Amino acid sequence: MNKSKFLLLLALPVMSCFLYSCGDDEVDALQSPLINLVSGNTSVKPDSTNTLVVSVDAVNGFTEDNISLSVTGSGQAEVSDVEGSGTTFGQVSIDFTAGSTANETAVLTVTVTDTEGLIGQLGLNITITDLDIPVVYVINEGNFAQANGSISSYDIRSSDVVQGVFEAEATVQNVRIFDETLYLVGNAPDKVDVINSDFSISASVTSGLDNPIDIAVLGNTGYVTNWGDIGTAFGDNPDSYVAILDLETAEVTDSIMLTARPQDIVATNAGLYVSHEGASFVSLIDVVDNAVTVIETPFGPSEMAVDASGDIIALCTGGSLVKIDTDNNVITLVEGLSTSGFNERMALNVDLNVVYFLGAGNASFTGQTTIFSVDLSQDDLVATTFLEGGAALYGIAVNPESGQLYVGDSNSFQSTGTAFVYDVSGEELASFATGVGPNGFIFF
Amino acid sequence: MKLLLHRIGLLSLLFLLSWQINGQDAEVDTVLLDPVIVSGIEADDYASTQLKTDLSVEPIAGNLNSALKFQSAIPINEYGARGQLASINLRGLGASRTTVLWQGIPLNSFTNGQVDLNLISSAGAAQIALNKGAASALYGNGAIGGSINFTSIPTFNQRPSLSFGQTVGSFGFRESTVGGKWGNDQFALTTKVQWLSADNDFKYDSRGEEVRQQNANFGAYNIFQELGWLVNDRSMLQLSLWLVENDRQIQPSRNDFSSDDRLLDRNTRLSLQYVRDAGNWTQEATLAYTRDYQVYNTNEPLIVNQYFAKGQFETSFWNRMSWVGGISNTLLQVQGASIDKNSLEFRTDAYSYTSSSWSKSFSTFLNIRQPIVDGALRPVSPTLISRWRPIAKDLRVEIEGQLGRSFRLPTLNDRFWNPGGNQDLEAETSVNADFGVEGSYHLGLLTLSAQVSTYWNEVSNWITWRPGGREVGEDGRVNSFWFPQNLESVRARGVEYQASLGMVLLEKMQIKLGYQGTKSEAINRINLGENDRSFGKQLAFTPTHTSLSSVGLSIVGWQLSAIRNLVGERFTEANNELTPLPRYALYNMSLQRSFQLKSWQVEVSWDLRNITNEDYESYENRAMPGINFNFNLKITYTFL
Repeated sequence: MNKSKFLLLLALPVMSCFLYSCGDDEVDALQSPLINLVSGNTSVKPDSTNTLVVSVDAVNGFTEDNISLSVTGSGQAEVSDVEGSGTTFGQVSIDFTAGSTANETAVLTVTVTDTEGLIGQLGLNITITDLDIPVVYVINEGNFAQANGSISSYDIRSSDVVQGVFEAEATVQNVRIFDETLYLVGNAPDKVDVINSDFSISASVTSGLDNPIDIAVLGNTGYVTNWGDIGTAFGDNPDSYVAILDLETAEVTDSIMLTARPQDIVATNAGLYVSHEGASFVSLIDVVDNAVTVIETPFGPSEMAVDASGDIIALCTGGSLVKIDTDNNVITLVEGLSTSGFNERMALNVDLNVVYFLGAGNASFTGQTTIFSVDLSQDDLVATTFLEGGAALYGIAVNPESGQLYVGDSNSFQSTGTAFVYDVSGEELASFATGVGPNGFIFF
Repeated sequence: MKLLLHRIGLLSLLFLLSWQINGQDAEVDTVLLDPVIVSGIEADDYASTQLKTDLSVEPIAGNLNSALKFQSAIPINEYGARGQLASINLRGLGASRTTVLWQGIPLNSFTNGQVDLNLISSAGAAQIALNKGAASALYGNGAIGGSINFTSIPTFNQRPSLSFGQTVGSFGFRESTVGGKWGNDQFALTTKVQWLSADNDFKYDSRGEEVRQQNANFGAYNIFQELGWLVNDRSMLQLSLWLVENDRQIQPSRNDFSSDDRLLDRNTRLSLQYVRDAGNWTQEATLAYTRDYQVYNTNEPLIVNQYFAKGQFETSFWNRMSWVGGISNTLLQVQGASIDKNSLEFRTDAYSYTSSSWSKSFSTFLNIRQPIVDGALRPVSPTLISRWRPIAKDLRVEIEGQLGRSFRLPTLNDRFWNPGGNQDLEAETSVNADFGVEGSYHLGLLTLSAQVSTYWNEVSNWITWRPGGREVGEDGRVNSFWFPQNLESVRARGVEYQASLGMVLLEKMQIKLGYQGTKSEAINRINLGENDRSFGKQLAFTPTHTSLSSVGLSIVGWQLSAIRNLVGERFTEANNELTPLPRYALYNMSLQRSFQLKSWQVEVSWDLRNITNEDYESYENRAMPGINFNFNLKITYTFL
């Protein structure tokens, strides 16, 4: 083969990188008299598994038989499991795993050789950036009457766990994030703590609440579901309500009377949806005039979330998964689910089209041992077992950055709990100790 | 009258013990005549002497909590200030594994198995005896860690007297007592009425701000009436009535300023006891009724009625053996919103106690108890005690070993709570072993005593409540709940030690130094699965170390005493992973003086508690009061 001819004919490869979050790559070009390669510097997340696709254009008759490619990685940052595959000309996939140390770089080198030796190289600068969500926070409910609810932190990069980054001094029902401010809803004492992202308290609301459960925030107004007096909450005439909270003054300014154990509250453009564990309906509150519309559902709507279509997905204690569309039509998606029967736990995946929830492995046993999933994108919706064999599963959430599932096990409230991290295939990636009763996770 | 009449000797012993601990002046009993007290069969005679401690009745707001706290190193979990729930944690085995008896009748709640130490006023007792270890199994259900016996014994042939006491203390504490006693050679009558209350509005730190405790007040009264009748010189009837009402706010966690929870308790305790000495044997019969009425906030009351009947005999053989045989029957009736309506349980215990003196220095005791619940045999409970007392002139030594098995029946909540109650639960059983050495040495005006004992317990079938119960109703609705299970096991072991030194310095100046402590492990051996990291760890709220140090000084009628209570770190959860509650030391002092003016006896005492203003928690997130005081005046008039 005439080497100079080959070099003249060699395509100018156009390099492009594809990574989930890689959208702002700086592109520069390395010129070669024989091969024109374009490299793409790219940023990847720590501990991430990545695939880069490199395009090499063939020119002047070079064929697959003429040259070969090899890929190696080296540098300050750790890249491992580097493999290249694909056709000589055309697209080459480069798989590699990034190390865990942020702000270090590595170089992936694509080497083009023919039978007589090197004819070109492409250097891809890999920068390992920090995660958008490097630390996951665990909501620990605490033991009844011990006021030992708390928040723990788990550093995804180092696996370091710190218990009690925030001591709630209450039983924690929920922690919600709006505009990087945390709103902790607790009982015994009944309160809403407004917490800055450094876990300092900016305000604490301690009056006007009676067994509060959940909160939604619209602007400077918080809406807090309250069961009311526990002595009547399970009876025929509970004094349940939604407390309206002025976040400027941290005071409850008004309330909207409801009934039957209002549990979850979700804000949408249509208003506030409130599920009722003790009834067969969801309340829709118009935030302009506080008017309440009743939307009938199967018994015991509990946890709610908004799916990819903007519809409300509600898991009911009675074993139904329903959708409330934007016209407030209720569609039962799946029935007969093995729900836990109380304070259901559900999470949606990153694309908001798969529901994960905790349930019992069988009708009579003891404890939430199974994670079920329902793929909402399918035509025939069924609940399938995503994972089984847990002991006392109590909380579930999806990391919006990685899509990984975080699941809390309460150890039957006999002591502190454990959190498990799974990828979407169900493989366990990590586990770590939590506080007492991990009932959820927050990501910010 | 053999029986009846452990007369002056026993009475004197009581006063001596009272002095030893409270520093009571011996002058106060000069007005007593020649009183006669009568007691029936003493189960304590078949138990350990080494592990038995006689507690004196505290002069101020005396109850079982204060008696234990100021006179022993036994861990107590206090869920707040005075008047709030306080529970014993003897040997780390939890509140439901120490049995409290009044006149031999169980007082532990039949619904949760526990005793609120603050609800057991010393108004109902003349004697309080604490028994630890294996031998207390002879007291029956729940006596795994030990037992506490409240007894009241009529005193015949005593001059009539009236007494009035008033205490004022910090944080609105008030206590008033009125009492009267009278006895001739046939009848003995005792009356006590006690009212007490406190605001408990002490200050404490909450997230950097000084705040006042809210929702922690209480008001209570105790009425105690007792009539003794010497039917003849061989028989006695004793009728005792004890009424209690305690209405309290439930002290919330330290940052809870909105809680308004309340708990009302009313207890009725009625006992009729007959004792007959038939020469070579003694016969005793007891009929009793207790009623525990409890209302939480405005909920439906929880009521437990106990109908109790016991008969027992005691006899002696060859001057070296004694035997007690007995049988007790208890019918329990419970009513409450969360208990299956009108649940009944019938318990029978048959028992035998045998003591044998093999020589002047060596004796053994063999006790056995067979419980039966609703017709089903529960684990038999045997105990063997060996005691060796070598004879020496000035040095008294006792070596004692105990081996036994005790049991705890599932409570009515465990069995009948709806939902979750489990009627298939087995009784907890515990194999217990104790070994101890005690010695005392007298040298002139100096008395030195010391005791070391070790124990080992393995409690099987430990009953644990956990979430995860699930039922699907006919309408398809799912009901989830907590439920109890028998799980293996908890192992406790430790060392208990005490030493005291008494000195008579001058004719009217005496000093006594005391120290007692515990080193204990109560190790969880329950494994709930691979996520459970508590196996092999210390149980929650159980300190590995507690101690009580005391100094008592008596100078010409003045009694000055100081104590230091030390409670070690306690984990708040079973995995021992979260920061434990820190250790704390509390210093208390008291000063007392008694005056005798003809028929009038005046006792004045003043005590100061938590002198160093320690900011501490006995239970997680429950504030406790800082420095506080009590002033007490008691006047007794004896009709000469």
